[in-house]
Amino acid sequence: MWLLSFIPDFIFHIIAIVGILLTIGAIAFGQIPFIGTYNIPINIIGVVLIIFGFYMEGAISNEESWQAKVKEMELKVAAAEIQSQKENVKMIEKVVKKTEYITRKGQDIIRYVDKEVVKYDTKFAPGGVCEIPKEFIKALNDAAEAPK
Amino acid sequence: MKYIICFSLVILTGCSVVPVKANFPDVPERLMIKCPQLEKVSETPTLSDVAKTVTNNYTSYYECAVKHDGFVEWYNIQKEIFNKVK
Repeated sequence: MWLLSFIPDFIFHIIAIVGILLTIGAIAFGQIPFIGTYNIPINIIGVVLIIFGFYMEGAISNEESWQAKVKEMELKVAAAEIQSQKENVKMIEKVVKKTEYITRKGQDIIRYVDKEVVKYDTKFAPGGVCEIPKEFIKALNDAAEAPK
Repeated sequence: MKYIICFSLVILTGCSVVPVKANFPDVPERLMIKCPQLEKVSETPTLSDVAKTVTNNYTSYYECAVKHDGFVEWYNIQKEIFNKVK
């Protein structure tokens, strides 16, 4: 409640107490001649102050319960952020590890190709015994083409 | 007019804002890298060129798959964490 953010709580306690005192005073001292003249206005002011004071007492209590919920929520959000960061680190480590393994494996296979498969290059060269057909190359390149 | 202003003020005493907001986290940069284009074989390739190109393409695929799977897993984990904050 915004009103409570710039008016201290004790003001509303005082309003409620003053309201009660005025009402009791109006009832108790109503018969005294001088005070009795102002009995009705004092009673009305007292009742108004009681209503407003009690309303604000309820608001203070409500505000406190909301503030407690906000604190609880803040703690939850902070805990979630920490957990999220931890999971991020774990995930990045996992991806880096896997990617490194795949890259290393690819490099190992390339080294193997350079060592073993290269021996058959002349046999499969254009005009060689087992020339690689153009259709085979086309099929491979078509498969590698990104969809448009 | 005076009464309307007073009444509005009384009504507005109930106004409040909730200051806590949980934001969905950003995706790690590592998972946001685009997958590369696949390599093509030259017009007159040797057998080893073909083998290397195929190997490189398989490697690219698996590297990309790791990123994609990582993103899906990251999203599911973060969603679960985010949904707990309620």
